[in-house]
Amino acid sequence: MGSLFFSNTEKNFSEKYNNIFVPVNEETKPVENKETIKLSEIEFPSYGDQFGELIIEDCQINTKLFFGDNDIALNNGVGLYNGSAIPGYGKTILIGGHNNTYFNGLKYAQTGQQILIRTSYGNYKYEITDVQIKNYNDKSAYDLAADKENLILYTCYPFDELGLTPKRCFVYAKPLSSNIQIDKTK
Amino acid sequence: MKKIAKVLSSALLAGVIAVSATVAASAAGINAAEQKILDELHTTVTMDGVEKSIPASYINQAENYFNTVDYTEEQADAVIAGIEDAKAYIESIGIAHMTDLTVDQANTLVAKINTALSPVGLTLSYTKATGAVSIVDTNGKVVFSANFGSGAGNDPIKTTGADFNVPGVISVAGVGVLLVSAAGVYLFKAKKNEA
Repeated sequence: MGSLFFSNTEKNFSEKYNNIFVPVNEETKPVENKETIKLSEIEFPSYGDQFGELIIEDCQINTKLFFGDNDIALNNGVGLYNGSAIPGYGKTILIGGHNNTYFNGLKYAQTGQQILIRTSYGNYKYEITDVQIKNYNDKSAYDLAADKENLILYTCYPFDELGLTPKRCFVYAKPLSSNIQIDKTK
Repeated sequence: MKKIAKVLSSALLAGVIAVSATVAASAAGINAAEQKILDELHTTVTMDGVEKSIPASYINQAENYFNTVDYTEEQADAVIAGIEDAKAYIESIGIAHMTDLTVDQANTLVAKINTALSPVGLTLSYTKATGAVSIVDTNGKVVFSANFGSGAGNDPIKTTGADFNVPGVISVAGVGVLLVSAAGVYLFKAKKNEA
């Protein structure tokens, strides 16, 4: 314990992770002449993989997106809860990030702003519809059983809080456009 | 006990996923056999006359996992049989809540899960201090994870109050721990003097 707090060397919390993200051009479809892509045609991410990036220009956010929200993911970017869905899947996407680093910019989030998620299989734009402060254990803050695509970002609140806090800032967004949708059939 | 019971309820699903992991990773997507498993996970278990269901967040984890593997009908049937066996056991002991499990009953469920995990080379782990449950494959890849800690940071919403990758934060935290420790020693001494 003592060495953690009094060591002269900086601790390295950035463990290695697998990166499967290969950006696709935002203006073109990743699979020629297709509006949809089969799951079998994409590399479905495993827990801990960086599989995309998340950008909110109005909030000065441009960060790596991981599948899973463990410490390694949150120390290197933002993490998609693996009990939610990947973009384009047609379900709830739940993404968390630290309030003092990659999601600090959520303090600028406002209705109407656009969120861009880029993955190796497609790019997805969303529009912020609401920003709410709720308790971390408020089950009404999300619906992981929803069968309609919706994006929820969250971080601890207040934004300058360093310790544990029961409050979270939830940013809700609806799909705006995408260059490819996922076909779930095999 | 409450934590153990919650862990077991998630571990049941983890066990099912683990048994399912006997197939090699291949085509993604949900085939008919895998859909049968998901349909089974959506059914309820009756506990003391009340129907209970598996949280959507756990079923989504199963679905995400099935998107990385390919199942045959036979494998799906075996998995479904395992789910039904677990449900039958829970219903047979007549508890109203998972928190009502006795230690012996909890141990029985743990044994069932471990038996299921062993042949497929997967490991179920539970960290009592944090309430974290996870199952990983031989490569250390997480197949299922959940957290039943009592404070902020429970599933699915995590603690995102600070990134402790910042040295300054560590220093602040270190000072905080020292102050709390010092206060604890002071109180201990004060109580000793009063005695």
